[in-house]
Amino acid sequence: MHTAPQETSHHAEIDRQARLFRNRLRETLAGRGALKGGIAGVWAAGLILLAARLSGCHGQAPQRWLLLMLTAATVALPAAILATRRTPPHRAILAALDAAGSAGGLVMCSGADGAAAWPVAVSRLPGIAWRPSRALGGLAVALLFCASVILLPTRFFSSASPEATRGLESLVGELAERVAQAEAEALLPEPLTAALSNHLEQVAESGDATDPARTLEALDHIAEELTKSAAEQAEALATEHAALQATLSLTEQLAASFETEAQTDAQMAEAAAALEQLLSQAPISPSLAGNLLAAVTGTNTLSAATLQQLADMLREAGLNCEGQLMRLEDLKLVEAPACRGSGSCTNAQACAAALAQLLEGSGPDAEAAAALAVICGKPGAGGVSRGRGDAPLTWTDPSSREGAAFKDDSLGTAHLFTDGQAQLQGVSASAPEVPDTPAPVTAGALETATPSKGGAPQAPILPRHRETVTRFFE
Amino acid sequence: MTLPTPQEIAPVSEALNRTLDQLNRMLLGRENLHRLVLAGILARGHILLEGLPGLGKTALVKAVADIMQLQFKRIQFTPDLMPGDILGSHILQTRPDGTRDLVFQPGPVFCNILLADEINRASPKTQSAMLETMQERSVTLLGTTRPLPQPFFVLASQNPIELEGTYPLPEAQLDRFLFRLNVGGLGVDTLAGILTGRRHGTIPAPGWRLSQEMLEQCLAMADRIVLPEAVARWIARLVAASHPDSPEAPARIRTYVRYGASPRAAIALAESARALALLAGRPSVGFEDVRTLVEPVLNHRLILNYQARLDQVTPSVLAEELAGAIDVAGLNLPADVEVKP
Repeated sequence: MHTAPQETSHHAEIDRQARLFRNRLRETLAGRGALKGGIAGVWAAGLILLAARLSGCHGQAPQRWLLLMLTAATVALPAAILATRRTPPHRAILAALDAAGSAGGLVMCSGADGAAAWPVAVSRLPGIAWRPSRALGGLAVALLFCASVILLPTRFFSSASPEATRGLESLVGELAERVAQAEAEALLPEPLTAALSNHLEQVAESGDATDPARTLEALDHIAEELTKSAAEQAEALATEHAALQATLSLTEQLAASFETEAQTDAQMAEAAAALEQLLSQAPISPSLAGNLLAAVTGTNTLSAATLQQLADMLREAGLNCEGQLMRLEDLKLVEAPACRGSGSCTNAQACAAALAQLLEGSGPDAEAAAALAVICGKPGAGGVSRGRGDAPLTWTDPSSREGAAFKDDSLGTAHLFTDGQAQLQGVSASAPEVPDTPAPVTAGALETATPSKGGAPQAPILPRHRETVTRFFE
Repeated sequence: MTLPTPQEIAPVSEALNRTLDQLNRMLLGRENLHRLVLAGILARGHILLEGLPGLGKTALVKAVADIMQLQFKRIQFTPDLMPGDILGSHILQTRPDGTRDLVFQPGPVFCNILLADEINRASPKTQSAMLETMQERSVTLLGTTRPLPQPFFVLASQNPIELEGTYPLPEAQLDRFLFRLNVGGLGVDTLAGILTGRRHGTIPAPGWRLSQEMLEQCLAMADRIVLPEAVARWIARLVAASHPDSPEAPARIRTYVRYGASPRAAIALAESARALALLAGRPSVGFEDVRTLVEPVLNHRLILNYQARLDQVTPSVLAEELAGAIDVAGLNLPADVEVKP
């Protein structure tokens, strides 16, 4: 006789083991379901992204990754929940425990009457083996597909031919490199280079081949902006450089005159005022002008030392301008002529005459200052597209013919006649004989022509053509 | 569902084990075969022993009858054997008062254990005379049905190589056998033991015999062994999957089997599994009991096609594969998830 509590305890222990095993099985099934759902989600996200990109809606890469993760998670979670519904019922779990432990049916009968007399213990729960290799392989394939869809540049999703997009990357890279160097060397204003860099990134990202002309047009626009800005910068530098050179020439002339003959205070004050006015009106940067003015206005009268200091500053500033101009040229941001002629002042004689006139006091001071401004300032500060009237005419390298002209190609020799159609009339070693008197005008060839009967036509030269032939051989 | 108590099972199990010990002592080297024969008897089934001549089939049946103290008769099947030679016949007899009457003279089938030796040598007509006796355990002659003594077991033998002058058993009769047991050859040690221990191969007398009452207790106790629902369902799935058109049938079953096992096979599996559990001293049937019995129960019930003959695939192999292919617990897990003991 067995008591009810004993049976209940025995049955409860078996049930507890069964619930434990069932929970493990449910977790395994949930994980498997989540993985399967994740794979389905990745595939779905990949297909959605592919369709979106093929239809022209690209977005940014982080957005695509976010969409991938959201879709995978959205599908994986319900799949895991659904997978747990495949958890076997309690009686099947008991049967599995019985079979695993070779319990002879005693585990399955643990709830029957009299089962307590047949104690059986589930010493060790059976293991659950899940082989996810195929699922992981599927996940890898799905991720590869999705990554390809996400990371491939936009041009791969266009219907244009590869030839149309060839060279786009090199063009963008070349431009980006030029902009980056200009930015690094502070050759161009920083806001401008930053804006150009952003534009280039956008073109590289979204530059597809659905409309290659549009992409190339964008690149042309950026290149034009870059060239235009560089040209403006070069023009400003050239102008500044010319002004500096003019001022330097004037300063050197003043210093030379100070050394050769003594100057009165009034003359030196007048020269100082002229220099100050020249510097204040010169098209140079405000900071440089401030420094130069400080050197001039620091003393009431000019001295040789002051002029020498000013000349050094001007020379250094000029060299700085030259360096920037050369760098712009090296980077092909401007063409070489923009910098040429900036190495030395070509108006030294005029400057010297104007200075002599000023020093002799033969004319009003204002006229002398104006003459100096005219000689050393505006006229000589021509830009890339504008120059002085007496500037030398220079020729640049020919511009690229790419996209503007057909490639030259020699045509093959035309075979107008074959041997069967040609007929040798004779070989002449000299010019044909032409009678002095013109031949009488007769009817044309049609009148004298006879049926050829299959032979080559023998058309005589008409009289009105003989003069032409004669001129040819003459 | 109430399980027998250990106190109820213990004496029965002990008696059966002693019977098994006696069998093993009398006939050397056949422990597993003896266990299955005993399980078949406890399941009230008939057993077909198949093997070469001289392997001890007849000796086994005689030993079982001797230990169990059952009435034993033997019929040597020959092609000219008639049904009346088995079942019995009516003989015209004169009574003391001078009247004459037809009196039934029982045939050798009226016994507890019938050894049908070389059963496949009899004609189909004579073989079919065994159908009612094996299934109904009764004999009907001239409209009169006479029950056979209980218990009644048929232990038949057939020689597989003697095809000349034999008539293969029809499927209907084969299906009536609970087991078809293959009696194989003996090992060297066993043969050496027979040669050294037994002059002329004489089988020793049993040192202990099972009483009739104890045999009835054993049979009654076998009926009380509990068959859990999951095991019954596995048996049903096994038998259903033996048909090639079953959705759960393994690929090789679909390829090689023409006809699967009958519902009688499922009943045979369940009953013999109960007997095996009782032999093990358990009150319930486990999956391992069924797994042990799948081959002897199904090997003569699977009708194979010609492709199987060409590929030399035997029903025994297919039965073993079937038992391994069908998930015992019915967890219905995905293919990549497996429960390991």
